[in-house]
Amino acid sequence: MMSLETILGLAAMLFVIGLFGVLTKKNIIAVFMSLELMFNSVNLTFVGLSYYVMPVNLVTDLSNAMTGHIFAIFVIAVAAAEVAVGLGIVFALYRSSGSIELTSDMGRS
Amino acid sequence: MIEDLIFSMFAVVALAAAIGMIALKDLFRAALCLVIVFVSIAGIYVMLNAEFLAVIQVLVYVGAISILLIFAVMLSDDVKRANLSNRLQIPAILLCGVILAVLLVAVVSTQWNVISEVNRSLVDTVQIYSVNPEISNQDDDFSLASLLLTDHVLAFELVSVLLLAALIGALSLMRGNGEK
Repeated sequence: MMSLETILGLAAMLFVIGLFGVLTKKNIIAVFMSLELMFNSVNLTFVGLSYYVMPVNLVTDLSNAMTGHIFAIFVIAVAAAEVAVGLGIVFALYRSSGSIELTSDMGRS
Repeated sequence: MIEDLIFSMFAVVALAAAIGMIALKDLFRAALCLVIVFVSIAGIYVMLNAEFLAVIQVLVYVGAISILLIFAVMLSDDVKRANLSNRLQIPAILLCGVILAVLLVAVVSTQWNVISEVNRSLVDTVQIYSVNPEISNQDDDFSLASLLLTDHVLAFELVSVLLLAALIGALSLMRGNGEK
């Protein structure tokens, strides 16, 4: 049951659910939440591949088994920076237009 | 056997909470569903030899990012009906279905070079003891800390600069234009 295919399938489903939220949500906070879900599914893919797939040159360099984890750590750091700046933009938007709805007449009110 | 059971429990909970995050009208409950997804993924990380990432996941996502998101949820006019969808639902469902089908076909049809039984214990040792390499009986230093500061030091420094820039950018955005 727990295999590479199921983990990648789970990550693909989470990614698609997040993509659906990014495409359809009206509220910018909901879009951010869906974006975080997509980041997490990609991290799950990295860790799953790192656990199941044979690293190159494992015998000569043991640290190649850690590449997926390192990648996931950097993705988490970049996602944290993205959320800080993104929510700053949301606050600025709220202050200037009084609403955080992503509609076509945004900013005109 | 018990491992499969726990994994399927985490997977089902993560999928159900993700769908709930999309479907619920109440934005605050959607944010709590997102927290459930984060915790389930942290559990799957533990099962995949990534204990350090699981801890980071709980600290950064469950602890910090979800709190920031819940703060921002309070900006909505009507939180109970804030998680609505726009008119693009049908095309978005079609697009997401096509992408999911492509991804699943790619996952199933690829010939993965899965780790053989001979190397399994070696990879397990490297990954489990990457946060505490002294007790692993291996000569090489493969700990996460030394890898980040030797092989990946350029990316590490760049991420440090990026976090500093994000900090300053978020501060200047929050401060606004009017007051000094």
